[in-house]
Amino acid sequence: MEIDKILNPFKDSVIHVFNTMLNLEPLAEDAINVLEREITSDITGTIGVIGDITGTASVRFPRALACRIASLMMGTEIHEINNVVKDAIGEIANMVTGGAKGILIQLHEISYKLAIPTVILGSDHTLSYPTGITVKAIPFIIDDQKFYLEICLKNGE
Amino acid sequence: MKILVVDDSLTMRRILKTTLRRLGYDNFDEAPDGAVALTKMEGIDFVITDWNMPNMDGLTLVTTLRKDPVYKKIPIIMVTTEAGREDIIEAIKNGVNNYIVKPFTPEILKQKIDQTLQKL
Repeated sequence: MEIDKILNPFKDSVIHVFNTMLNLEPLAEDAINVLEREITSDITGTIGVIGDITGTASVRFPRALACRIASLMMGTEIHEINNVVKDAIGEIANMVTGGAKGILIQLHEISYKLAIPTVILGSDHTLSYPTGITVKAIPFIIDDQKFYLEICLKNGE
Repeated sequence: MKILVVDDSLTMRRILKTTLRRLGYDNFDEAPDGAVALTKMEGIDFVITDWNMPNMDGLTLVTTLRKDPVYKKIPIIMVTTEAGREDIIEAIKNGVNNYIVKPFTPEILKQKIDQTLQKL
């Protein structure tokens, strides 16, 4: 399975989640190879999948955008990363990965199980992956803020 | 009608409660997983539950309730990211009355609650 074949359903799922839950319209840019261009973020929601494809899918945000997303989801102003923001970003990762699963089943009969989401915090943190595996990311723009969908997936065993 | 909202995500519980209030439902309780939900069932008329949760997942909660003579007919909607056809079939087979895939709009939630109540 080519990772590029999996990317589009994830991209469409990100756009659908942001449109439906947040009334935001993120603009997707061209996918990048993460091993050639390291990505940093302040908060990452990551979720493991296992099945026809196996690996992780992550949504990665700068601090300000994560707070804006949590504010929209909770209906209250949030200015600092706290447990509510962490929970919101975990839920975004969950919805994006679940939504992509629905599209992948329809398009390619690819299915997987989702793990419980994990949230990683730290200013400008990076993610590390095993060597020899392809990791791709799609940058998205909302107003002047950028966030990333990052996927590291291979054929299931 | 008292609704129990079961989801491990505080955010999703908040979204569900806000949406339910907008739809005119203002009597509810909440639980972060199926195990806690089972301790809060007294007086509950309707359950809205996630599937993937720690401790006790939504499907186990549903099968447990369906075995209980008191709650075997209580209406249950599953609100989950599990969007596969086989997932939906599994949930319905285990006793879920209706199924919503996240993300959802308030209109979808209203439609599914109305459908579920009409079929009782």
